[in-house]
Amino acid sequence: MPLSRNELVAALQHTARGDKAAFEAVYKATSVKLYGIVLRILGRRELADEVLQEVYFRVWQRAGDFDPASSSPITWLATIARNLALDEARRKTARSLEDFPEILQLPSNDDQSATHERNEELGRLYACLDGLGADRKELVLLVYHHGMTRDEIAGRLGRPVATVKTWLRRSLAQLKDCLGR
Amino acid sequence: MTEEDDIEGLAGEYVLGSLSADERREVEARRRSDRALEAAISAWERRLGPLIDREPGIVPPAHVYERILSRIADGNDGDDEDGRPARGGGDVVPLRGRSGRWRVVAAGLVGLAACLALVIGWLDFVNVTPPRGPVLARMDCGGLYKDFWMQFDRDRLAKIPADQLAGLSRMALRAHDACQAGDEQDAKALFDKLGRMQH
Repeated sequence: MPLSRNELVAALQHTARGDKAAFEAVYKATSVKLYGIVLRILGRRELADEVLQEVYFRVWQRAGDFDPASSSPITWLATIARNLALDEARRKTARSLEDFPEILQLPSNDDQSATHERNEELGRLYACLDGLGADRKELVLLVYHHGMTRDEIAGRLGRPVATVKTWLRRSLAQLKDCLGR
Repeated sequence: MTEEDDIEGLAGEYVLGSLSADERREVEARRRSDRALEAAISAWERRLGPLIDREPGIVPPAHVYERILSRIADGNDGDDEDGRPARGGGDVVPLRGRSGRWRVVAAGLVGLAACLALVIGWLDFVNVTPPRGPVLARMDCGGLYKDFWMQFDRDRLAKIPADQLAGLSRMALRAHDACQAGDEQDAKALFDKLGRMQH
């Protein structure tokens, strides 16, 4: 069930006070998005299931750390999910993508629940990504959505790891300049 | 500027997700005391955050929420009497730290060790050297499997009907499993067949 930003902020604040109904509302409103994030990075359902459990357990424990003045609730939640998924992915020497070829597609569908403000931010970000050129834009998006390491990218592209690192750092610097903050 | 001083680049790569396990650990340790790094990480999370809106959601299985509730109800490492979450401190239980799972893993390892002992004893008895399979030793099963999907023509993939895609997926899994099982001939035949379907 979608919640507005303010409703999600309130649900997290109630969760911080031990309100399990509020916690359930947070889960119902965000678990589909967060599961998509962790499954895309991990590529294996059983790992994604474990990581999602850990994500929401942390949310239950640390909802009081969420500061609506410094980030949006979905960004805060997704950051927890991405970090746990990336850490788990790094523990695996060989990731399997199992039965989900669709997760290798870069996301392209717009989230209808995104607010106007978020859509504007996304539009600005994509305009800056376009400025990187098609190859480096895809590189940045592949890393972000699939959590690929420099080594994995270098192996895939047949280029030295140092070159990949240079590309990434230059792309990030250019993105920062373009976004202007 | 030294590499260590390139805080922006390091923070950006950390948030982007391209760092290795060691580098991630270093950043996580360093950000606790390095305010500039912490601020740079927060800024990158804010900059790249809108990309989350492009992530298509996937419905998680129902048992996930049930297990979360069980963990919360179990006292969860620091709940107070009302079941409220512990504040402050509260480092999280390692993903693999639950005792039930370790009991299963331990039982499995004991079983595996027993099987290995039997195999080794048998080989010793018949004085046979196990086949080495030098080609298989060089096969990267996970890499081959992943490469298959990564190199698939995206336009073609998008046009494949769901039932055929499921069949393709099953074949790719079979190839991976055959590779893992050491069946070189079958694995190579399947991966070759899959390769011909990519374009």
